[in-house]
Formats: sequence, C-alpha cells, structure tokens
Amino acid sequence: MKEETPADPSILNRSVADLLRAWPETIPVFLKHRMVCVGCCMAAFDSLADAAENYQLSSTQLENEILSVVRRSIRP
Amino acid sequence: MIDPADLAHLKEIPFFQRMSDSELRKVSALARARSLEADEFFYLQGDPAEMLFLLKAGRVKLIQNSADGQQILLRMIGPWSLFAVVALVEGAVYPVSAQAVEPSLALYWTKNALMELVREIPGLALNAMQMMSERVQEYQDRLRELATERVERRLARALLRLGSQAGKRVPEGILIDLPLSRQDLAEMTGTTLFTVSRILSQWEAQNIILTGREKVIIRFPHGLVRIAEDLP
Repeated sequence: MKEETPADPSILNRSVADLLRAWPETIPVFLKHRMVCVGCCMAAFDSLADAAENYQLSSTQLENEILSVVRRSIRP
Repeated sequence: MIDPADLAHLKEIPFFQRMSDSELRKVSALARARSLEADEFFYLQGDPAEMLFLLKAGRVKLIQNSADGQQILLRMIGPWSLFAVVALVEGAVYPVSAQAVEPSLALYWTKNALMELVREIPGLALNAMQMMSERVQEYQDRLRELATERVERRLARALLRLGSQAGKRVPEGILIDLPLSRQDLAEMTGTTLFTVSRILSQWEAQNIILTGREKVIIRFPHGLVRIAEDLP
C-alpha cells in the first residue's frame, strides 16, 4: 500500500485551476465558502491567496483547509 | 506535411487527442500550409466548406455579415486553434468568413484528406463531435446572455472568455493577447460602441481593467467575475 505523505505546502503556489484539477476533493472547501472558483475561467490566473483575498477570507485558514484535504488524498 | 517540431503541438489539441504517433504522422502527411497577409481571407461566408484549418501563427477573426451589411465579430482565433470544423460535414458552406488580423500561417486539410483520415482514424470523428458540441454550448450561452442579461454582464463575460482563450500574465494583470477594438467588443456583445466605451471607462476608473489602443488588460479578474456572475 502506498504510504500517505504530507502534502508539500509549495503546492499552494499553484493556480486555483491547477489545484482543482489535481485534487477535485478540494471542491467542497470552495463551495463551503460560497466561492465560484469551481468552473471559473479565471481560476487559471489566481493563486489560493488571491482567491482568499477576493472573498475576504483568511488565506492561512483557506490554505490549511486545502492542505488538510490534500493530505487525506494519496494522489500526487 | 507538418514540421516534426509541430507534432508536439498537434498532440495538445483536443481534435488530435488519443491518437498514436503513426496516426499523427498520417495527419501530418496530408496537411498543407497557406500563409496570408493581414486583412486577407482564408475563406468567405457562403463558400463551400472544403477545408479545415489549424492556425499556426498569427491571428484570425471569424466574422459574419448580416443581410443588411452589418458585420459581427463571432470569435478570435489564436495559434494552435482549429477553425472551420464544419468542413467535416457533407455539403456544408462556411457560416462565417475568416480574416487574418495580422500576417498568418495556417495548416489545412482538404475535405478529401479529412474523409480519408476519418475513415482510417474513427476517433477523429468523435473528437470533432466533442469540439462541435463545445462550440454549440458556447454559442448557446452567448445567445442566452444576449436575450436575458444586462450589457455589463455580457461585456464582463466576453472579456473573461477572451481572457481564458487568449490571456497572458503580464505585470499589470492578464493581457488579452489580441488586437481588440471597442467596436469588436460591441459586436461580440450585441451593443453599441458608445455603451462599450462608457462601461469600459467606468471599469477602468474602478481599476478592474486597463485599456490601451486595441488592448485590454484585466487588472482584477475577480471584479469581472463578480459582475459576470452578479455576485454581491
């Protein structure tokens, strides 16, 4: 069985579109915060920090929520 | 025949996906090239649809003329995009004209070559259907926008669509990397030049966009998303 490794925080430098493509499990996090990033054609240009700022959310909190979902997933 | 260096680009295009190297070589062997100066036409609306084009360099606009002579810009085509997929349909005519905006080079396949390819590589027909259905979906969305939405939302959506199709990161934001006039935007959104100018100036004052001569930079993408999606 493949061992789960903690997600590298550098994944947070990827665009929101990249994150959503690589880890669709993170979709509910965006929906919970009523963000329209899922399916948005500008998601390719914004980082998670940009998205947090757009919705006046704490970027640290949003990044931690995304990282915790990614860490539960075993895919790269 | 396609330059071997271009085969890698070909593989990235949805129309040629899931094809083996030998199939791609066959596609490449049947391709021809045509280069045009700015303002020349690859084909005219109403001509028999005899060729499928893949733009390799330059910019092409797809325009439609109405019976009373009005011209509408339907779509801008950038490098490595296909146009005139209608050539795959028997007896079809081109529903739009394709005009080079700048010196442009396109690869093309004749109808006979396409039929030969589809017979040998049936996956191509499925890829073409996928492409056509995406185009239909996009035009349906635009029709709904025209019929139901305020001009501001239509214009915001048009800029977002262009940003995702031809956007390039620059220090000031996302540059829509196409020569794009206010008249083009008015035609794309079914409104007047005056209205487009008024709205763009308003958005520029709000720092959502930055405009220059035939140039639009999206400074604050979420600002446009908020208008397009009617978000609070």
